[in-house]
Amino acid sequence: MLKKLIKQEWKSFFPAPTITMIILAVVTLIMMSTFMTSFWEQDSNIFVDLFASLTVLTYIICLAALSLCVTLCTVIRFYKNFFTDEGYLMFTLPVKTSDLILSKTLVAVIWRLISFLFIILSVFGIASVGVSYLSDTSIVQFFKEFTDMFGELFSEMQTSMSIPLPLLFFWLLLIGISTCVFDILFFYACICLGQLWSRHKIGGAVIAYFALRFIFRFFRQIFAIPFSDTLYYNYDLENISAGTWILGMFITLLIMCGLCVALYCICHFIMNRKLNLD
Amino acid sequence: MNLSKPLVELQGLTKIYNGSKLAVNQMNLIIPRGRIIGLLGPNGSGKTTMIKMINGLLTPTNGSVLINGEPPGPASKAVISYLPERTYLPAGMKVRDIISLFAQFYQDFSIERAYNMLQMLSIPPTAQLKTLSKGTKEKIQLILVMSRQAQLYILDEPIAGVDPAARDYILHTIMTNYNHQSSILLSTHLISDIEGILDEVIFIRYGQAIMHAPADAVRRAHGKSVDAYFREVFAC
Repeated sequence: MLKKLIKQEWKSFFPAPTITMIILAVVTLIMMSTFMTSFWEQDSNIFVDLFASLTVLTYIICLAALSLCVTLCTVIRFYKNFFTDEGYLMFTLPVKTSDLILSKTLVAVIWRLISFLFIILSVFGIASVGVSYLSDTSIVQFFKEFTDMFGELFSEMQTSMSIPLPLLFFWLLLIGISTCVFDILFFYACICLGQLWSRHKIGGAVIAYFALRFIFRFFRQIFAIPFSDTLYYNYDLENISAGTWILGMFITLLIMCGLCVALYCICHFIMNRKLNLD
Repeated sequence: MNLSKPLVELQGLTKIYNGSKLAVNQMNLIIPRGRIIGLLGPNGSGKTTMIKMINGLLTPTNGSVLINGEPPGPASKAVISYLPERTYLPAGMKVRDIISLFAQFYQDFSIERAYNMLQMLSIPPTAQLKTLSKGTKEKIQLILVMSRQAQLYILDEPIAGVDPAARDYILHTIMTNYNHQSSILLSTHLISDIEGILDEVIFIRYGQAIMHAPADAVRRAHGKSVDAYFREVFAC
């Protein structure tokens, strides 16, 4: 049933982010084309300046819109599907509550990753064309310089952290994905907590959001202080062994996973034991 | 399917809203198999609240709901076909999409039957749900519910707010499409329209089942129709 729910969720989720991505792609191509033509070599006049300003502004708005669109779709779809009239459909399907939550979370995580990659590609595309235009080098040369620069940076990291790069990336990827899952489940848990209010459930969700944020920040600060002190006073970064780095990343991952499980349990408990559809 | 257990059993079922408003009060009820049962009561008597608890959409304050001996869950949802009193169809979907969704999730759903009913009502499968009238959406929901071979059909106010011609069609659809080994729990306060099809009646007042009896027995015992008796019992 989870597969079917994911398929269904994917079909309903994709239109808005896809349209935003297409708009971003078009604006990116327009931006790139200005560097490929003699646009910036024209004498300054009101039309050129207006076009340039509008293109840059539209591009920045599109970048923000894509990540905002994915977040809004994630939040609105969860609320609308489960806690409005559509809940009568979703909660009468012969599926487990865990499948309902997991399907929504998985699709939202995938879209977050897609939008993140798309934004990186777009920025990188414009940067490569822009830099090669400004420095009068070819795009191929830009890529070569870029890869060389990152190669050096990574080898320095590898030397100072004594961790093989693939292993470092693997850990960072795991932490990145767990942070992404945490962000999504955080929204879901707030919406679910809002349902415990008998009235003004959206208001309840907003209060839950700020209350949970405060609680998490408070504990993060408390736990972070001893770690940062240890790093500052007892260690030189280059003397930290690979094992210590891995242990640090492992603990971070463990905490993120623990928080994700806690948020998931809040959602599951409320949707399973405290459901009260209006 | 556990046939040795009652289809639905309510044990001391209670629902209190906002800590003070008693909607369902210590209700004990057994819904047998193969019967058409009218759940009759005035507005605000607790019919919809009870139905929502059977479907797992509301959490009881006290007591329990058992369907085939199990609390509401995926297994009970697979055997109950529920028509709520409101339209729940996602606006962005097309008629054929919602039919395909039901076919994917309910093993007892018949696509042919659904399309036949759509054709009879001249509802285009390609129509987007948001473009349809409230009445048409209600008819689509009824088609979705009656295209299943469920053990229990729960129909909450299926004929409220529709014109008499549509009422006839809805009752005809229910009678011609339901599985005769199944039960139908039909909630309404428009009794005269459905009295003829009822095997049993449950009267609900102030969240309690005050009577559960065969419709014929009620008519014989009181010398009047169920509708007339209802008006007498619930006279203001």
